[in-house]
Amino acid sequence: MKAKHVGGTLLIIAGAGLMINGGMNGDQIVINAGIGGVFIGVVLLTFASPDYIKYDAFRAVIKPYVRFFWKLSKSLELEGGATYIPPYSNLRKGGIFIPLHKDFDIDPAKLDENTLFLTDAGREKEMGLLLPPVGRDLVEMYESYTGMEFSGLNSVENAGAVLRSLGLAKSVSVEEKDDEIHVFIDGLRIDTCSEECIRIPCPVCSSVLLSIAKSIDELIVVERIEVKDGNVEITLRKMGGIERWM
Amino acid sequence: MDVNDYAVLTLSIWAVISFLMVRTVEVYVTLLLIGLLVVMEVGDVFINPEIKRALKPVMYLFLFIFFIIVVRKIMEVLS
Repeated sequence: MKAKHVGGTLLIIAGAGLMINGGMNGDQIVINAGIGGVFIGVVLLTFASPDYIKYDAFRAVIKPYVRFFWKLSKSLELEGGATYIPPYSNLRKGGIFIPLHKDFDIDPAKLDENTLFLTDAGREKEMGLLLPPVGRDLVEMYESYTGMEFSGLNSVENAGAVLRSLGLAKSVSVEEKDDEIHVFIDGLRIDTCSEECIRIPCPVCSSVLLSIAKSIDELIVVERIEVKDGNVEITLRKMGGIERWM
Repeated sequence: MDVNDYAVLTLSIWAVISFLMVRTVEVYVTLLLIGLLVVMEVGDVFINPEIKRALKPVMYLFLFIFFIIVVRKIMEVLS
């Protein structure tokens, strides 16, 4: 039992006692003290409910998976930047396609949730690795915290507030210039993000990029990633909607 | 300190300051309701939805009490 739970319960009990005592004696100040005690106790108990794991433990759990994906991308000699696919009929939660070559094509009709290695494509330009939407759970958290589905680039900046609340990053800002999008993730707390995110995204970057793909309903490809002192700048290029590639 | 801690701290300080400033139960309960509503609104996207859901019954209880206070005041004015 956490100290907050004990403190909250004690405050509620003490507050209730004061309220009864104040009510019996007709003393409004004692009643107020009781109400205040119960109020703070309830607030303390309510805000104490979610359990979090320690940062070091989280890092130790997540880091090997990120390293595994980096190794996978290197051994497969994938050259293209990660392409974020918004949800559509074949991939209901979207996906991340890492093309074999920098100059690539995507045939969304050939992608589905059971595909991992896309090798049976007619042309080599269409080959690559299709990952499930890494960071999708974070996207769901963004939407549940804000109480809305993201639509439009501005709404993606709400992800920054949620990441801040979760202690993962300080802010997210997005700028659009023609068919380029610049994403700035500041104060990233986990050190899983590196230039490798250009191919294999870390969960935080991936969740933001998935939100963008979903909110503009277009495929986006990562062109460049710069990581410096926990601040990440990602340059994306818009590739048009799914219909364009069908 | 995370966002939740700031919310608890803000509401606690607000409850204590309000207690020191007012004498009547009606005004105190109304001030607590205002504090709760402000924190819920300002911290909207920062607060876990589960916490928001859990705080809603408290908010409704305070609103109900506020409604009773308003009705009593109206009755007083009318009589």
